[in-house]
Amino acid sequence: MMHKVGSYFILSITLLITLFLNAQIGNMPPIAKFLDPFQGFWQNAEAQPIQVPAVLSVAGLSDSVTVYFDENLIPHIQAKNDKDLYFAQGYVTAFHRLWQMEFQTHASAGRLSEIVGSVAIKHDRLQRRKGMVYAAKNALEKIQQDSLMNEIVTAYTDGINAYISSLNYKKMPVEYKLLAYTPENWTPLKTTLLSMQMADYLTGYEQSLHHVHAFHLLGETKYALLYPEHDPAYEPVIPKNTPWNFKPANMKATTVDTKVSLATPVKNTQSSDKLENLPTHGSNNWAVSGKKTISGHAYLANDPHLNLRLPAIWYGIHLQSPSVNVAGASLPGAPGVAIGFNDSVAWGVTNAAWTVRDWYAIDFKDNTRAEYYYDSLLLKSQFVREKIKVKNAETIYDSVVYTHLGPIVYDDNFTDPKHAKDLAMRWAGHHPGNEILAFYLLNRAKNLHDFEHALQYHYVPAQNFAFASIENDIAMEIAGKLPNRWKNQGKSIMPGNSFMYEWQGYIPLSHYPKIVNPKQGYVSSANERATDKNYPYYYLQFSEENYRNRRINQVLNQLTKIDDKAMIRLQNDNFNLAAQENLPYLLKYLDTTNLDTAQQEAYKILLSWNFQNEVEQVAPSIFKTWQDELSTMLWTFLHDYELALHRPNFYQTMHILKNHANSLHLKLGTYHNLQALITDSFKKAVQMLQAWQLVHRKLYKWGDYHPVDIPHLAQIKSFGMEALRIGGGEGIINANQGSHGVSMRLLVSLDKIPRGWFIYPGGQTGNPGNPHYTRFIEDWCNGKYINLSLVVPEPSKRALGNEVILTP
Amino acid sequence: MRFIFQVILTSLISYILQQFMPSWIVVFVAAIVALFVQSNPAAAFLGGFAAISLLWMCKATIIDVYTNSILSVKVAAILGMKSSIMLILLTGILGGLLGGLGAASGQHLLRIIKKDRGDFYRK
Repeated sequence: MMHKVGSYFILSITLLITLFLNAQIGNMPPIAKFLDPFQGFWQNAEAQPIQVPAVLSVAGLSDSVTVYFDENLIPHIQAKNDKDLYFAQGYVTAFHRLWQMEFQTHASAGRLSEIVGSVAIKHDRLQRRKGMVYAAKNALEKIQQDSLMNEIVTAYTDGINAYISSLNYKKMPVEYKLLAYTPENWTPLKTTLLSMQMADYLTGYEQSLHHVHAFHLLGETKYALLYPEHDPAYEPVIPKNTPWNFKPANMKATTVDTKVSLATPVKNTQSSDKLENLPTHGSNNWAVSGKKTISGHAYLANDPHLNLRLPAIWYGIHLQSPSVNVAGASLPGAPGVAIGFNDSVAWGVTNAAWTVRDWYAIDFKDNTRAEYYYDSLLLKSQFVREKIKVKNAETIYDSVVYTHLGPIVYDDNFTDPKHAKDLAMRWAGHHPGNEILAFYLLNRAKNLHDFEHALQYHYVPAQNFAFASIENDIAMEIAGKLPNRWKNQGKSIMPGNSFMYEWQGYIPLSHYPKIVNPKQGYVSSANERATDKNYPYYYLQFSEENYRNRRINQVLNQLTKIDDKAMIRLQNDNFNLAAQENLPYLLKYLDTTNLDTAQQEAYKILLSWNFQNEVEQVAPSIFKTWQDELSTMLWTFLHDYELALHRPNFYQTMHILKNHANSLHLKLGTYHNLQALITDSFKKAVQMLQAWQLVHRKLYKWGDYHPVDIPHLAQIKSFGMEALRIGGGEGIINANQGSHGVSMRLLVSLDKIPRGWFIYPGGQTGNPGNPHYTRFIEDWCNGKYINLSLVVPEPSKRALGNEVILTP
Repeated sequence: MRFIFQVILTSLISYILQQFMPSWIVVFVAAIVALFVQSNPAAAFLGGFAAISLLWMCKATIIDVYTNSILSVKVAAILGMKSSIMLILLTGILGGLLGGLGAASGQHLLRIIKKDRGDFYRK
């Protein structure tokens, strides 16, 4: 009998341990299941970049589709009809990027806590409170009302789901195994969630609070000096003095004082970073007419700057059916090509950075927030209950108040030191257009007319679309829903208690800023101001680049016989215009009489610098640190205010120093004069660099001092890349800074059959266990490109195991 | 001899079944083989442990060599290990544990069944 007890005991122990090793405990994956070399993570390690069966039967297709992966794993999909084409795009994209596709849409919808646990609760609540799902549902409605788009998005969805249903644990992307969850079915809503995520990311950071504070604290004159709407040297997207041949739409201007005083001002002390530098992110694009090129054909170039992530944001693809032949960069999760070219035209985008998100102070009747005052009325708010599932913890509920203007993002239940409470968010993104249709039409555009026709369906985010065609037309046009504003409307927080403060309408499409075939032979944009002061509509931009745009124009103005190499050089340009314009001035004021050896040396290095931000140079590090120190010291007095403000940008800082150093509005503080300020900031900068050198035990070469990181999307450290050495920097065409930078470079030569080439920091596969995961990164750092072709090689020239025929 | 026979048989059957079945199948394979081949739980444990840990380490090593440790170094870093060799060892230990416990359980199962039978005949 005793033996039996022992035996039962051993049996139960075995059962328990087997269960334990195969179940998820806390944040550990089920460890035996995960380490099992036959089914677990080991199976995600791949020696071959790709190995596909020659024929694969996939339910849901109506005809056979050929997919050929070239040596860079770019799929060339050839289908006999559009439905099959987008089905195959969904299938193939999921084959390479499924985990990323799903994770991004979970992030957009505020569902990350389900996967990663309570660390993501704040993120999820913010997404819900911004109304991301509300926006995505509105976008979906637009698609469903359009039978053609509905068919395409459904086909794309079915393709993804056909791939998902072919998966078992063994074939599942490694992140699912690691985080111990499984993919759910794709839905058209996920596609719109992805585009809303992009729209949210590109419609800006919040300055309205800073503006309220600045208006309030500094007064009109000082405010205008520190934060002017037009920099003195601004060069707009649409060249100055372009005539506007239309009569602007009428609008009743509101003369009422719109400067609200906040009931609960955001105190300076609450904010961790009370004096913020505004981000200087952006993108570049340009098109050059054949008049300026050796071949006589036009060029198009585009490099969008985004947060760099692995798996990469972009997925290269070539789509071919009887109705379309297009190649370029797609966004995993959305059908079609987002930036690219077809057999007739090429297009590329930069963020137009027009403010389409305003904040209104809501005048609630009482603490219940059930009703609010609006002109002579009392309006009812709506309460939306949000359910947030949390891994390994209890489900959380949040209640979001919606007004007719939009949701209340921050309130007593959800505070943020950088935001004021009880403001309604009025965002163009909540009412998107039919963006999928816009890109569907762009993919098929034959000429300028088709291009312009497609743009009308694109509402958010507002973008500068560059265009070039084989007919040698070039153009730059803004697309997006643009509110028609009265002066200063939306610049700061507005009262939400009257109709007169609301958007009264939108700028008519025919009045949008655009330029077609200008005399100068090129068009360009880099997130600078859209137009000169003569444009009859008032608008706000949350970002106004003043260096990259002028550098691009300088180079394009000088160039006459442009070839591929000239375009590649310009796209990888590391010239520091800010340094060229300001360094001589700073060095002139620098008091060199009392410099120590290190400072002397730094001074000499700067004197002989060629203004190139190259990885092996130390001068860029010295200049950058000096720039930052100078700004910090000069704007110290802004810290003294009790409300949060942002720092004037570097262009404006230098402009003020050069022209208004004696202004009463400027307190040089303890720095009794300009020379002392400049000299002290220089000395401080050199000290900081020396300290850096001590800590890092190496010279502060730009490549080391300014390392670029590409983190993994779920912040799994070893799945990301760190400390890449790449030139460029803020305000430079090759705009890399931290983990933000050139997410892709695309070049197209509009020959009879257009030739394209591109590069992005990542690889086609999203599998960290595949050699192609980071395949393009080295080339990206070194300014090299890979081919992106509309021509598929003959079947006999295709590599073995790289081609699959999908059959119904 | 019995030991070697147990090891070979357990790993061979596990190898075949693991192609399409989850990792817990090795517990049953080890149990059934031990039930027929071995005579006591301690020997059964050792045989089961050796069988699965060798199988798993061989498979993991082959993958690791073939793929140049591309993924194992990253996963090792996540689990706080310094090298893929440590990860292969961990894989072996866990597999061995499943196999060993399975085999020992097989023997114990035999005992439970045998005793019951004996009692039945003794009546």
